[in-house]
Amino acid sequence: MRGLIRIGLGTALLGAAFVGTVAAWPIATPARLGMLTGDVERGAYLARSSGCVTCHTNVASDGAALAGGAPLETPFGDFVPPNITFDPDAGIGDWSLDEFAVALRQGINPDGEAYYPAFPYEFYAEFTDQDIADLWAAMATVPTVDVAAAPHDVGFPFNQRWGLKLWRAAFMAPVEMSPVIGRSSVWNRGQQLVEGAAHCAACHTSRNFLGGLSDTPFTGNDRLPGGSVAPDITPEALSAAGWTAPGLTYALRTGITPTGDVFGGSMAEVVAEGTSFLSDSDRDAIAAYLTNEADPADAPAPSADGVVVHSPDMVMD
Amino acid sequence: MNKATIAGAIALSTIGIAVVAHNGATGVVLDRMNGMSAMRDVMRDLAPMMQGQVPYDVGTVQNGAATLLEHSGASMNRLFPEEPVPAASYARPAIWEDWGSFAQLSEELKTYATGLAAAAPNGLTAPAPAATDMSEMAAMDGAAMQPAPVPEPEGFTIAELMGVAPAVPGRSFATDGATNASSQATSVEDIIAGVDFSTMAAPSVFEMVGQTCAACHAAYRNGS
Repeated sequence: MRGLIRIGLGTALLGAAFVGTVAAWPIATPARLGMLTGDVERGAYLARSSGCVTCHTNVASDGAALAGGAPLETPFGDFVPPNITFDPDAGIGDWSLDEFAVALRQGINPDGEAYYPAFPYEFYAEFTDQDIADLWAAMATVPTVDVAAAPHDVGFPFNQRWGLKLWRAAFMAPVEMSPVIGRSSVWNRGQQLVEGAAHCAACHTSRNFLGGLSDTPFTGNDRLPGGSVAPDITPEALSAAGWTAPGLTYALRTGITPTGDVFGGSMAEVVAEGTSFLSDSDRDAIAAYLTNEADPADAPAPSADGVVVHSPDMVMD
Repeated sequence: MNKATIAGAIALSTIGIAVVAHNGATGVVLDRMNGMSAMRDVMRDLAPMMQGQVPYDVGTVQNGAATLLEHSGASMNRLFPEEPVPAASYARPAIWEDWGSFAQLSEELKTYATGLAAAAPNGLTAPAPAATDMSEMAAMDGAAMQPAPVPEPEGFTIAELMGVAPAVPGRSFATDGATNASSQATSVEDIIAGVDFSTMAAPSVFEMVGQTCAACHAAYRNGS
């Protein structure tokens, strides 16, 4: 009996030590953006194209901009996008630009806690310092709201944030992109948007039992939050379903598909609150990348030093 | 039989039930399926025309608008009597839980269908504003009498991009007929109320039809 007690106590101590060690495990890499000045217009476009505005605003309930989004219903619980207005108590008004950069690119809050992957920070990993400063400047224009969003409603064991550090070690896959020489600048711009800011894979790639993205991107996901489904959008699947690049461009602006159906589910919101705000050239780029149709013969190749993500030549309609 | 096989069988059964449920639809369910299909076909046929991919035909657009009108508003609402819906149905219970909003979208669709018929003669571009001052008309030479090119839609404002101000439905909306209304309006509903569709390009109104369909599908249709 005494032996069993010793084993039990030993196991409990080892468990506590493990949890304590993981909880104390520093995971953030400090960012130092200095005194970068942001461009409000570029930042606003990026905030819209990256889904910040859509996710952190509860449009259906006429919620204030960035004051907190509609809950995302997942098998792990309901995640509520927080208030990210600049209110110092209810929002992120007491953050520094450097802390904002770490949150966005690394998924770690100023207290050193990891964010749940419901926040698609993996796709923002390659945002430049200037992108971050631009976003920050644009967010500063939004009226503050002094009411915090509701907390997440997540049950045990998923409510143990320290466990997210293990999740990150096992599943986190920050996006990595390089311009492809030999493809047009349009295609490469599409790559930047699809793989990065627009984070198409967040919905159109299936996830494992712990929410990690599968290694077969864009092959569809029939278990989206809220019961929606995201179809396979690989070039082969799009072609088989009758999609062309112009048809996809039009659908990203209007929601109207080549069959005459109109997007519903989550994609309706993506179009209404996201892609309909993009420039025509960016919608063309997304369509070119996703359909992977051959580039026009005279299409310019990316510059030798690559295409800068969210480059200053990105323009609004 | 392993889990994957069982899961596959369940999935196939579910799909099969859904197919049977819709293939065997009768009564009001069949009527609304037919109505939705008719509107889908209109959208399919008009979309290439609205993009300039096929020649524009006023009559075809007006016929399409008539079909949309026939299946929207009260006509559509009548096809959704409150009743239990099977899990396989495309219809979500939210339709009846939030009937006011559903009916409002249905009426909005009717408004836009009427608007599409009014805008149809304009074709792909909005007509130039009529001159109201005789001196302006006198100053026009022959070239100036030609329809003015429709200006490129302007970009969204910072406030619209950040969600602080409501974005006008369809960016072109604000540039071909509703500019004055939108500058004074505080909500999308106000904007709609101030629109003169007969001054708009047909594709702009067509896109509003699509946006209304999308809003309804997002809230009240299962799947994607």
